[in-house]
Amino acid sequence: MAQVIELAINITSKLFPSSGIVALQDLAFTVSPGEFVALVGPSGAGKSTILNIIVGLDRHYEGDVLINDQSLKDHSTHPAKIGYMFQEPRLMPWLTVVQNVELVLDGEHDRRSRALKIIEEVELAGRAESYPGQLSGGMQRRIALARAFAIRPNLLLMDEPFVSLDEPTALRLHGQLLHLWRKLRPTVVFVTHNLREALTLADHVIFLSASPGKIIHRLTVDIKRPRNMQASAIGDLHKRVLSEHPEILSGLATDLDEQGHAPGQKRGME
Amino acid sequence: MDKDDAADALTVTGMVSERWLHALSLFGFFALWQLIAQILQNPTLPAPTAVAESLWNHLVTGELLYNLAITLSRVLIAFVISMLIGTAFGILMGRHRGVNAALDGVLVLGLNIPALVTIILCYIWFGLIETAAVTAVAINKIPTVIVTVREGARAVDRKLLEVADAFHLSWHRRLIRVYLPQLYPYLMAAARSGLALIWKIVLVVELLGRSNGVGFQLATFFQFFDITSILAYTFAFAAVVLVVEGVVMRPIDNRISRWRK
Repeated sequence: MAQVIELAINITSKLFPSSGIVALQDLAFTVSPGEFVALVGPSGAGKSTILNIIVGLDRHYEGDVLINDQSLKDHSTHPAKIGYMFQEPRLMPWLTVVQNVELVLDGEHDRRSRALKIIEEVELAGRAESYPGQLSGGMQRRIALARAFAIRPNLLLMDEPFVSLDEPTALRLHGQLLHLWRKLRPTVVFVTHNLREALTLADHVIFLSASPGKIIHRLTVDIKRPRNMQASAIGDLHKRVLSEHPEILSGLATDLDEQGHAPGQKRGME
Repeated sequence: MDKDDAADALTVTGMVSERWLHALSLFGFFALWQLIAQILQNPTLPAPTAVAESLWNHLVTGELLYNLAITLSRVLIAFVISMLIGTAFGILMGRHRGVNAALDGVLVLGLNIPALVTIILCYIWFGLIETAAVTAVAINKIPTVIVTVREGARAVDRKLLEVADAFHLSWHRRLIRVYLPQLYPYLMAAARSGLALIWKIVLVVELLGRSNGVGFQLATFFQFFDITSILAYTFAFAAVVLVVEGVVMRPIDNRISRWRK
């Protein structure tokens, strides 16, 4: 079993030299092993940039990322086994569903059987030999979720993975995500601009300001699991946060409707 | 349902009549040719029946097959070299602006130098040898491969490469499963147009400086004004091209575009 991952982020500043934009400033937070943390902030708050830094793709920043007390900069290969889910499913259209999952597994003899097993967990066993283009948007996300969990990650990074899904599909994906998370218990950093989603999924929610991204509020969600985005406890907490901290959500409140969908974003588009 | 069936039936009849049209037009072409040849009775326009007979004679002596094989092997070697070098440079120039800026001038030059010039220069510099022949063909073909593959490299989806990076895939899996599949349509286009061009240039190369191959044979027939044999060789050659398209190119094409259906 892979070791557990504790994450300590301390970014003093992150600048995009080409545009001169300061994306992040004085951003520090820690995520305990097996914990589920959601980052909530308006578009352009640098949420994806944080994930890029954690995954090791972006090395041009000031500050440090510690993984189990060791700086990421001291490692040539990444110390964590990372599962990643993007805003779009990003499956390879020329590979079948099962090949897409196999792609990220290491060259062991049981790759195929392990891929099929995780596909079964997201209830798509019957579509293993289909190509992504033959699946609905919701199904493609389920395969992307399976791909992220297939490597048995100890660190899971999710970049608005359920954006622009219709409500039933999003609920189903939440259920599958939490089911897989409980089984494997990776440390999770989940980026979203949907407050209700964050409250449903996370142990802790970190609120970011508009650019340059700074932490403006932290919240521990102590509602018992299993939770449901439509449950009244979530709705009450959602209301309470919005009324107690109207200022910290200014970035969100202006461009989000009641359900946390940005206006102009087509719901149920896929 | 009924509508679908009707549509299916329509396309089927469409295909059948299309195939008939194809055969009919070919038959019409040969019939017309035969007719004109018989009316003119001129040795510079042999009848198709005479050409068929000549084709058979060249075939049974073995000399046609020998020369076809020689030409085919030259085509194959030049093709492989051109595709390998052209693909490597195409990817480099598509990915790196600096490399592109440095080599673009040479590329434009390479695209526009007449094939005849490179052939003559290669023969003069390297001598009338096999290497010179193949090099001349490759030099003619490489620039067009580069241009096509460079387009493909520019169109590569960064987002899919990010997936490979986020999951820390090994470089060869990233290349074979994520990067190259995005180039396949461009490589296929380069291969198709490449073969068409190489067939033609190889014959000129053989005519100018080799003592075997289809091009050399055509030159010999030309000296004897043996038009029947020239046409016989032409049809044999066309048959080979069709077989390569049907047996090699189309199956590969079907395989790599299977997911689009």
